[in-house]
Amino acid sequence: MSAAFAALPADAGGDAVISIRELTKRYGELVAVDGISFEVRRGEVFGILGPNGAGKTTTLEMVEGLSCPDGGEVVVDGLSAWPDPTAVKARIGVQLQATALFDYLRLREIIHLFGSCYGVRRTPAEIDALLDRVGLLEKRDSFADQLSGGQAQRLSIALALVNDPVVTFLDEPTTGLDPRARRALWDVIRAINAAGTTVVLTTHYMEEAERLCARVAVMDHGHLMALDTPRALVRGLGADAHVTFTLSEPLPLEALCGLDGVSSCSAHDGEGYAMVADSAQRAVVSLLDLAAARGLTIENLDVQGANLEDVFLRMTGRKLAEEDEEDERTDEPEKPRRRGFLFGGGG
Amino acid sequence: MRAFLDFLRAFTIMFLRNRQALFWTFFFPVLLMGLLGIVFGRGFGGDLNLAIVRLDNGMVANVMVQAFKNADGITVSQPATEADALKQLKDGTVQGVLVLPSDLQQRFAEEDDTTRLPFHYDNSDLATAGQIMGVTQQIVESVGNGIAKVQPKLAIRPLGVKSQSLSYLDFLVPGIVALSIMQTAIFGIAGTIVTYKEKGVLRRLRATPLPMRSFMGSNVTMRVVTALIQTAIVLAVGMLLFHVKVNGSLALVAVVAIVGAGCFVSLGFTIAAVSKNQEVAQALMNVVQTPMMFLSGIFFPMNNAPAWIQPVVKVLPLTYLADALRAVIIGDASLWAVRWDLAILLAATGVFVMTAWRFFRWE
Repeated sequence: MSAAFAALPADAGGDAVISIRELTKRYGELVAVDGISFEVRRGEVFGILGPNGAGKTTTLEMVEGLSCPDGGEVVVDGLSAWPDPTAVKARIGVQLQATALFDYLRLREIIHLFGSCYGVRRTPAEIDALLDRVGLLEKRDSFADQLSGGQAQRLSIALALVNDPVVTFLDEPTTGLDPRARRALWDVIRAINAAGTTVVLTTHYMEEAERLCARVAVMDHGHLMALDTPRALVRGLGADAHVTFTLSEPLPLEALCGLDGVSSCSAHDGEGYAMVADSAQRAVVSLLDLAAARGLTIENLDVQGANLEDVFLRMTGRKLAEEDEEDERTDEPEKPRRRGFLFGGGG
Repeated sequence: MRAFLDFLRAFTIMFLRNRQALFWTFFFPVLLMGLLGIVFGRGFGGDLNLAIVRLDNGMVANVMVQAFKNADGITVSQPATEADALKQLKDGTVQGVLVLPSDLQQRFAEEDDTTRLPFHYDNSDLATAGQIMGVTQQIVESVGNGIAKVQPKLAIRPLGVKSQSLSYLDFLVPGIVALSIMQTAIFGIAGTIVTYKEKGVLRRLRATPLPMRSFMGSNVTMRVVTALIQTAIVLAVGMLLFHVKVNGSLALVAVVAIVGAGCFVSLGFTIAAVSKNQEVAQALMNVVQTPMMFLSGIFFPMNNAPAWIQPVVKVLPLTYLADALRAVIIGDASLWAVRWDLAILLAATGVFVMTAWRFFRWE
């Protein structure tokens, strides 16, 4: 772990809507969440970034009142979540990973029913307005099992807003969605935040965290590795960019690594070179000078800005997410299933 | 309370939109009743025909013949010889032949042992044979004990099926009611709860401030009400279409149905508690329901089943529900008369609730 991440700016200072202190959860031998502390500021989009199994969902479950912590405390909007989470549950909205819905109910009926769970009675106009916020107004009379993956997630988010929560928790809201549906969902989340609701989301997509979140907590193996704005986290890397290129003639690595603005370099497949630059500008200028001096031709020059993926790689030595393109949900509606049981009412 | 009612409404809507559930809940029991009535019953509400071969003219034989003549639902003929009677049995005119031997009076007066009267029946139609044998046995025994209907001073009010109800459908209908209650309660609860558990609905609901007892309570209420409606439909169709007699108090039928539904709702919760997914739940439901369907005296009486199977019959809760319903519907039994059936059902409910409580997981 780099020294740059040692000091965690975990204290939100002024207006913290969520305060977590020394939160711990064990499952037998496994310590799923290991004494983490941080605060979420009122009105921000707060991201928890980490690979599968990092403890993101477990952390959220303890904040949401679904899973009792083994140690530490959670305060949401001034209320302690434990031992009795009922009051906290009334003030938060929750979207869980598994989309949980009733067959045979129309969208507007599901929203009415969930409102009822929070003791609020939504009028048809309010229900329509809520569906409109997540772009599902035209689906108000559809059944939940007629929705595409992206639509189901949006319904799930609508349900997380039904009680006008102070904070809404979105657990991997875009996992499994195709890029188009993912972007549409980002717009929905931005709009929710713009309307004044604090949003806490978990993700293992670094792009999602970078684009949506004011601040990001990086988790791995139940620990909080870092917490800051995405920009500050990347800057903390000491790396500005990745520079890759090929040369017409091979060149010793020492010559490249010594260039101004370059912090490290490597050779790939005998032909390509990769440099990590602390200053992209100086590294590229000095590379061009070197090539000109030696009469070499630079080809396939590519400069890529450092991102949260690099932050995570640096801190854990592992990649954040394997690209799971193959099991992406498509945006096509699933075939409606009409399940019934032999003898008797399954409905 | 508001949420309870909203969920009750939602469960009802979901149920009414589920055509398969509607079919199995309301149509199937009626269909089953009709099919079994056609296959095993001798026409709807038709009488059984018994030939009595009377070779003795003593008092016992007179009383006996009179008792059979007075019995509901059984028609007596008196062929002259046993050979004539057996011919009638073979051509299907009668379903049973009772022989009153020439020394009946003498043996009845002199012997302390039970006098066994020859009874012929048709081997190839065991369901009918069982019915007529049961009826005949009952009347013969009651005559033997001196409490036949011809002597009103000594008569008792007969309870239970065999003494009064003579059509197979009379026997069957309370059984169908019991079976339907069991299936609605078990499938309604275990099916939905396991689905909701598997799909994460329970987890999502737990993230709301709604007390889970409101959710579970509305589900249970909906199943119990469904069971009552089912009972009403099966009884109504039985009465109107198949001329089944409903002698007992409908209020008491409802009480027994509610106790029974409660018992099987809690069994449904037990299954939901120990099942991780729908496949397991489905298998468990079959394991639990199949023996009850066939060994609880739903389709045929278990009195004549082999002795070794009786302990199994006795531990099945459905035995007691069917027994109580039959006693009330056909026999006009009082609440007091079915107290033990109800007590056993309530005890079973307690065991199921505790098991469910112990093992239930939300996800």
